Amino acid sequence: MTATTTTHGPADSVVIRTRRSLMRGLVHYRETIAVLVALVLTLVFAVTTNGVFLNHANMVSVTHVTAVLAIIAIGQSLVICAGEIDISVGSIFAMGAMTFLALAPEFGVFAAVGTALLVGFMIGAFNGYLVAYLGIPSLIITLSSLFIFRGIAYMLVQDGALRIPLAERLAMDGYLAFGSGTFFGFNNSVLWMLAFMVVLHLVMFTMPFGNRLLAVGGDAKSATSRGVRVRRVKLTAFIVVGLCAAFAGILEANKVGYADGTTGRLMELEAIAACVVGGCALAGGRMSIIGTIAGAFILASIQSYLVITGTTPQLYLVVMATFVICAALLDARVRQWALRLR
Amino acid sequence: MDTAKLHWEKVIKRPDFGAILIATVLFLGFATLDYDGFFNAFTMRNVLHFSAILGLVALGQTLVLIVKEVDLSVGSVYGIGGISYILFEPQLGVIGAATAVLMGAALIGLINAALILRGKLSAVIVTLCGLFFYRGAIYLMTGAGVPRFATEARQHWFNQLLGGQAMGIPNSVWIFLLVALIFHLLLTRSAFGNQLYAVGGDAPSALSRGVRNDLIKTWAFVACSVLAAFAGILTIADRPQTYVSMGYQFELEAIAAAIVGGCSLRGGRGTVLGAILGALIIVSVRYQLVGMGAPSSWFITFVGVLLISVVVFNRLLGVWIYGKQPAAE
Repeated sequence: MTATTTTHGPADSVVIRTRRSLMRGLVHYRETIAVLVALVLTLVFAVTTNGVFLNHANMVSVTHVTAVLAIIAIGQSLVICAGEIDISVGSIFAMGAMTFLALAPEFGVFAAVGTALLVGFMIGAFNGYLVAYLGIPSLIITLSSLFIFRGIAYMLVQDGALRIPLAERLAMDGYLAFGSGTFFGFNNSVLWMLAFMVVLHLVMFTMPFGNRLLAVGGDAKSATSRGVRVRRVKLTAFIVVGLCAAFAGILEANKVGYADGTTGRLMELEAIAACVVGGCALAGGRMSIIGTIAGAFILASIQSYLVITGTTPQLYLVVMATFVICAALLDARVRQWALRLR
Repeated sequence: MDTAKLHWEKVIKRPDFGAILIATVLFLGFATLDYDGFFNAFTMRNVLHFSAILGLVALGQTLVLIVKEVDLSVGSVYGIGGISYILFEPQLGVIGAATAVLMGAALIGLINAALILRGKLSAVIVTLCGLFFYRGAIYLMTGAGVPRFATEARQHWFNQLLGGQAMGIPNSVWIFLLVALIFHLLLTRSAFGNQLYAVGGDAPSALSRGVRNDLIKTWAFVACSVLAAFAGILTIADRPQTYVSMGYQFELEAIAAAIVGGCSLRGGRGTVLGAILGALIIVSVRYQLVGMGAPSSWFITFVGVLLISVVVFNRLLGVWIYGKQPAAE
């Protein structure tokens, strides 16, 4: 007893208090680690490429890749937060991109965007209904929709591709609003990502829906006992990820004006990876929108770094896999360690 | 209670009941609507051969699903197994290459199990990363193209044994049936099989009864990876040419086959017969679709529709039999 009082003397207390608040930060704000890693990686990449990594052209490309990936990953983080997983986002992404490209020349940009979002909504609702109301594991349902809509995507283009020539694209009304236009040299997609971030962050952390979603992921039974309609909350999460993935598809299709059957392949894996790196717990109940965006930025940066340094691009898969495993292992360890120190 | 009803209930409660039903209906359908000679020798040979390959991978997946885990990396392990078999052959010889591949696969299974059980990570994340990692490793190992198997290596007795045929049926099918029989006996007649189901059905109870859960799960992961790599070797022994995309999306087909065969992601359910029938259903439908002149892209859509229909059917069947409402979570 006396020993403890002496170590908690006035000189130590500041150190201990700072350390404690730091640890609480690590535990409570899940994005801390991802944001720190993103900053450190940016610094390391900038130094080792003599600044090429940070130059304007490269940053424009990295931020666009980040934006498209982050919009899907934010949606994914909601589903993961509800304790489920959606691995069909790559296929929804492709469906969104294709619907947009197929309809834009004939019916105008806004009608095409609306229809593509409707497609995303429908697929999300389909997944969500089967998962929430029939109680079938989401891995199986979304695995099936990954298959189904990837096949439909191939069918739509009949093993060819959809494309709109650049001149035609630029002539369309409102085309520049989605991913093609720029602000300060950066792609509009970044603005869209920020919009998604602000809206969903507010929804998640200031509104009742976010609270319910966190409750469902944390403990579905307790949530039910407190009057949360678990099924409806899960259905909503799946619809949101459908909309997010379709919108990301629109942004990408709008920028490149091209989509084929392979559009968005492996996107589901990258989105999940971004969530894990960003501090979302796969068991549900814990998530961070800002962390997920940092995760997407980290993945996009690694990809760009490998290109700049002239390493074989195939190395990306290996590096990303290793990185995600390390992030997941580290995340659990650091959190446990921080919890113990508290 | 009359025995006839009891017997009927026993059949319908089998986890592979859905697969038996689908397989029966499907083959009756194919027999009556035989567009292009589905039952001719050449098609049948291919269907059986590829069912055996998919069946091996689905069998491994079944073991992992029984212990309530999932392995998404089998497609890449299958690919890296087949491709390293070709790549290792010049240095190690045929037998040496096969041994090296199987040992490598066992190591992959061990790594998966260690990260999941010791590292306390979710199986989805670990094996998803495995999928990436080994696919990337294939690209790095091969560069642009995969070399062909040398002709002498093809003539080697080991490859003749794996890739040849006996009594008009490819050897891969015989080997698969042998492996399936061993695993069937293991699952139904041995303590190990009992423990597998126990771990997946209720891990805390199994633990309280003295089952070493982590050890059993580790065996399931190792067996799954080894079977996937062995399927890769069988594929190469039959056809010596392949591409870097070997095994792409194969994990999805394997999981689909296992689920159609009656496995549940909730663990504790699954049979060897189910895995065999699941693989047979998926492969024969692929050939029937190709035979009908459907574009190849229809196949993956079909697998998805089949998978959803089967889980929904099983779910509703469960509700009907046990009178349970679908779970909320």
